[in-house]
Amino acid sequence: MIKTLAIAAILTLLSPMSARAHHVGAYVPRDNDVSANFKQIKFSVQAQKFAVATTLYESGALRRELLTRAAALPSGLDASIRGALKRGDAREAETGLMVFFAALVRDLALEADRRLADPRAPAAARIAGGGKILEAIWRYYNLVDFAVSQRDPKAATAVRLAFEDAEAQTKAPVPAPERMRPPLATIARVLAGVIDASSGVRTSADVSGEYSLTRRHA
Amino acid sequence: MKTRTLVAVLLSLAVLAAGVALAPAQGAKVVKIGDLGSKVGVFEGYGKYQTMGLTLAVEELNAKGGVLGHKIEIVSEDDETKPAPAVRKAEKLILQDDVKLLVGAISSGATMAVMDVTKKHKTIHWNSVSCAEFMRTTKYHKYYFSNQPDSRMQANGLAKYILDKMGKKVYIFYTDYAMGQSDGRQFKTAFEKLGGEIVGVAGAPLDTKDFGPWFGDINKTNPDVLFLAFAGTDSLRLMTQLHSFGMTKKYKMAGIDCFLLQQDLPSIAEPMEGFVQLNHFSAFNPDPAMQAFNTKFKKRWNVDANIAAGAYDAVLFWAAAVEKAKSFDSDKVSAAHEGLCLDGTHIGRQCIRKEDHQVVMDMHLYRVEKGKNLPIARIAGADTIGEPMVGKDPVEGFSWEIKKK
Repeated sequence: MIKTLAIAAILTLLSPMSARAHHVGAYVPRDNDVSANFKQIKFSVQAQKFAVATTLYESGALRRELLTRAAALPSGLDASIRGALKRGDAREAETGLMVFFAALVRDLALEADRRLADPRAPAAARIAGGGKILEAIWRYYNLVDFAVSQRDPKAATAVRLAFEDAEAQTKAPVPAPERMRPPLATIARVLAGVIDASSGVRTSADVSGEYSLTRRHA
Repeated sequence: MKTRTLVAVLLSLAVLAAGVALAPAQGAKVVKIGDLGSKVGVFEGYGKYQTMGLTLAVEELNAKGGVLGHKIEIVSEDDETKPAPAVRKAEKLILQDDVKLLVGAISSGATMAVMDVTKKHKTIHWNSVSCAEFMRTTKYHKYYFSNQPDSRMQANGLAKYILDKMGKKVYIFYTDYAMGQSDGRQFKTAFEKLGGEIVGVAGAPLDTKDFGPWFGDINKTNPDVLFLAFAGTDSLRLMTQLHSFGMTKKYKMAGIDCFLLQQDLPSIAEPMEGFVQLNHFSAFNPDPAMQAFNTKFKKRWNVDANIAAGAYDAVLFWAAAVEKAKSFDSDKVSAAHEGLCLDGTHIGRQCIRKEDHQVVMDMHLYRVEKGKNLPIARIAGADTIGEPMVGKDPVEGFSWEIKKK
């Protein structure tokens, strides 16, 4: 329930999906409180102002969101980030923040999939709702794409490709929610792997399986 | 709640004011330089490395007393990889921070937008990453300098190598918007000028998910080489699809360095095996100048440098020009840049051409092997730079028409 409410709160902050292509990675959605707070923390860390970064983290929207969603995150994530910031360990802090956003995106992808599968809503409405969640997915994933690519380049490219595949369905002339679901499942599955590998903890989401970049052709 | 918000706002203002600054000793005279680029997101791999290159140069210069007796301080800004924020941040850097040098941006669209700002405010502007051809032709202004080989330089270098070593018949496959058209056009012009034969051209619309329909036409023309002008995830999709159709083994492949983000290369190492591209830097190049640079970059940052390392040389060029001009006045510094040569840059000796402010630099051709760019040939800068085309439209007179031989 908390997770659903948190996702609903995130969705209210969304702006309409941009028509711009994401293919070169140049598209950046407008910030909300969480992404803006992340950038403040990140820039403080880059400037090696760890005391400032710690305060920004402890008092900011990112941590409030993290604590709200703690049940779905690797245990000890908050303590790990705070500890890293206090120690001045930029790499560890970056990893913790990456895990948080990966989990946020994973849950958004699963939520989008759940809504797309709901037969009670018209297909066009489901696609429109899926598009709004995709905007949120990109807002958060874009923040940590480079961090993901440094740890698992294949995962980073797989997420970007899957995102584009899902986004293409928002522009299809005939709304087909079922076609939007597989790429969202890929995003959730790949990021679950990133979270597991980076935190050493198996997360609770049901996102097992493998992924591959290579699409098979007849 | 209000107190918490206020604290956050005050702290973020403090961070913004600090930037990624190398604080000089109190009382020392300070000159600021601006670092504008993608600090968050998909292009962070360039924006972040640009900052690291700048910082390395500034630390070295400050250790020797700075420039004209001033300690150098960097102010970094995130351009959000979009022209509008890039312009806003560039104006902030120039008008509020009073930077005497602006380095950036990362994407060509943002850099070209920033060129209008640096022209208006007469600010020395160095580009070390963007590669669109318009920046030294129709968008050029006297305060702009570049040490990133643009698409024309890369096409010239590639065309000669392909004709000499890879094959005389080339098929050009490009993404059908500004970037792909530009790269394809530059290559076709250069290759035909050298006597090579373009056996086919095709443009795939932006956001193409399945490139299969074009593969039949490519196979029909039976080229020696496929020249590919794509970017981002289009490149990833295209290469994986070409590979699954067996075409990466059937044809030799080449493209310019904007084809893939460097961080993406390991993820499609197998389809990219053997791909040839031209570039000015690779951490895997045994060239002594590159290795010397990479060693100190790695010592400072604990990672290998990438092509954004050009930002390091941009600062050294600017500092040398300021010392030569004995002034921070932008007109004098611009004039002092012209014809300036530097030894000991990340790729050895480099000189700035007076006519279009492009650095003449030797480049290397690289072949991808197991996810790494390994050098296969050195190309002299004079053979790639082409004639100055300031104010001229690089598209004028061009035709995609295939000349039958």
